[in-house]
Amino acid sequence: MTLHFTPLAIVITILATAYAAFLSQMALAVFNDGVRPFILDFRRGELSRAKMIAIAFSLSTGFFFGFGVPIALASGVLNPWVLFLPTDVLGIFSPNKWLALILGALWGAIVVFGLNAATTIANSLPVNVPQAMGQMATPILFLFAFFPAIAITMQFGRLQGVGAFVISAFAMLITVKWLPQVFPGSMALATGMIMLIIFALVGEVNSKKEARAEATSTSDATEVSTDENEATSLFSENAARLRKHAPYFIIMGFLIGVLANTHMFGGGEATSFILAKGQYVNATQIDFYRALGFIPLIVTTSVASGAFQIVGFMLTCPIAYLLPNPILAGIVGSVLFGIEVLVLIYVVRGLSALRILSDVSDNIRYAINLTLEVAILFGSITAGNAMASGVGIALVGGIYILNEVSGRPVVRMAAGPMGVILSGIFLNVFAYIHLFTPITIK
Amino acid sequence: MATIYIGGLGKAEVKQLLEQRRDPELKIVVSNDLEAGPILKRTQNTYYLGTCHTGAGGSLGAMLAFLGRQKCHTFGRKAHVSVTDVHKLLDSGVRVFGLSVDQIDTVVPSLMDAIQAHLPEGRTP
Repeated sequence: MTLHFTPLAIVITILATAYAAFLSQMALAVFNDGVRPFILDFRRGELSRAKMIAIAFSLSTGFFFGFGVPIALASGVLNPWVLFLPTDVLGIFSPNKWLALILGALWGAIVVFGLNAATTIANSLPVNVPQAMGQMATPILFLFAFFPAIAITMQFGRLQGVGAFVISAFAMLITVKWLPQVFPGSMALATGMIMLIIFALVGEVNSKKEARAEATSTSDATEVSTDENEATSLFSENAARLRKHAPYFIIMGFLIGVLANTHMFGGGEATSFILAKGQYVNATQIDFYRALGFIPLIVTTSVASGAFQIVGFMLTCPIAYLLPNPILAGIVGSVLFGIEVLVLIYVVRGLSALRILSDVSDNIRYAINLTLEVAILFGSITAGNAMASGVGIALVGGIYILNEVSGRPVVRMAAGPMGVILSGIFLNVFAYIHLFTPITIK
Repeated sequence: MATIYIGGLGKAEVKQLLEQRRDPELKIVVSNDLEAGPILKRTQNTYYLGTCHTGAGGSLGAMLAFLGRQKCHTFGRKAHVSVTDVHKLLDSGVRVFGLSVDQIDTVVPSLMDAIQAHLPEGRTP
């Protein structure tokens, strides 16, 4: 499995990081959802540039080194954490737009050429880590199918969750038996999602009924509205700022669309591994459901701060993976980003009215996280097994546990891949000094 | 009696952890930023605990817009938080805390110890 960056992928990566740093400099968009809430005070001048840099830096470094880098090295595919966490900081750091553009472009070049070189070297070594990483796709794709059942358990209870799990499992088995041309995970996933949507709608209707019953008995509604008005006027102001700058986001949408269409950039945590295997339809499915877990968070932080998300609602990537050419992908990205900034204020109003649905989104995000943690750990240990059988399992698993008990410097989801990379380096050194005989990786 | 509003990703986990304290002096409400923001603004001795991956995005959400930066704090992905640190934050008026979901079990206990030991302004022991 060798991946090489095409000239288009190289150019578009550099343009995307340059432009992302530019948007961050203008305080129009940041990638780190945690940095975004602070942009409000930064824009107003209540938070100094130095302090803002410190905040952005401290919230981003852990995810850059402990997540973006290991995932990129392990998959050979770019991800938004490795590209856009640094551009957030570079943009905030830059006192003017030109410096932001230059620093952003430099960063893109460093990443794309660095990753290209790292992948080439890794592929030429006796213990081939990228090839071993091919083990990752199966656990991710199959386990992901159960995230709706996990989300249902979190929100609606154990009984409902177990029911959803059993039904999803049946859907999987039936697909394996009678529909061999369909991917079994997809069928189970669709079944689970339908159940989750039904539970959510029923829950929403019930909670509305309860709220109406309560509203008739108590009457402190007037007090609430004054406080809420103050915040909603700030929200409208921020949303208007983003709408006014829509053309800026349309350009970002184009870049993200083209970038995702090169298949050298995975929008989600696990998609990089799936893209590296060339399974674009599956990557689309994963990133689409993932977006459902992020949209409310992106919308609320955007209208609360007046800064948008660099990758938008995260819907551009899943669509762009499947489009036939980069131009079309760019256009679709532009249109999506344009629509997204226009509808922000309506979505946030909807969210405050629909409590259950916004809870569902949180639970989707968390459930995806939990299933991917297990899948990626399993995939990593299998990759260890492929590299050095039992010894590999011990090394990867050992590094994972070591990370767990040391306060988790590496994010749990990336601890396995990090283990595989470190074990790979270790095994290659041992192979070089003839202490380890490399085995054939299937 | 302190009221704790819980929001963000790890709602269920934080709720469970707080309920395990079995403290009748503690009121626990599962909520979210859009709902709890206005409530915290017009009440006293109420706190918000948010969790997400970064400890600041989904955790704090719109809280900074509702309450202002001075009342919000994020521990980020920090794994260990001392009770004294939290006391300092509480003394400076912080009532919204954001932390990373994978650090809930280490951060929440010391955070809660400090909140419960903290007496809101105007009250004497």
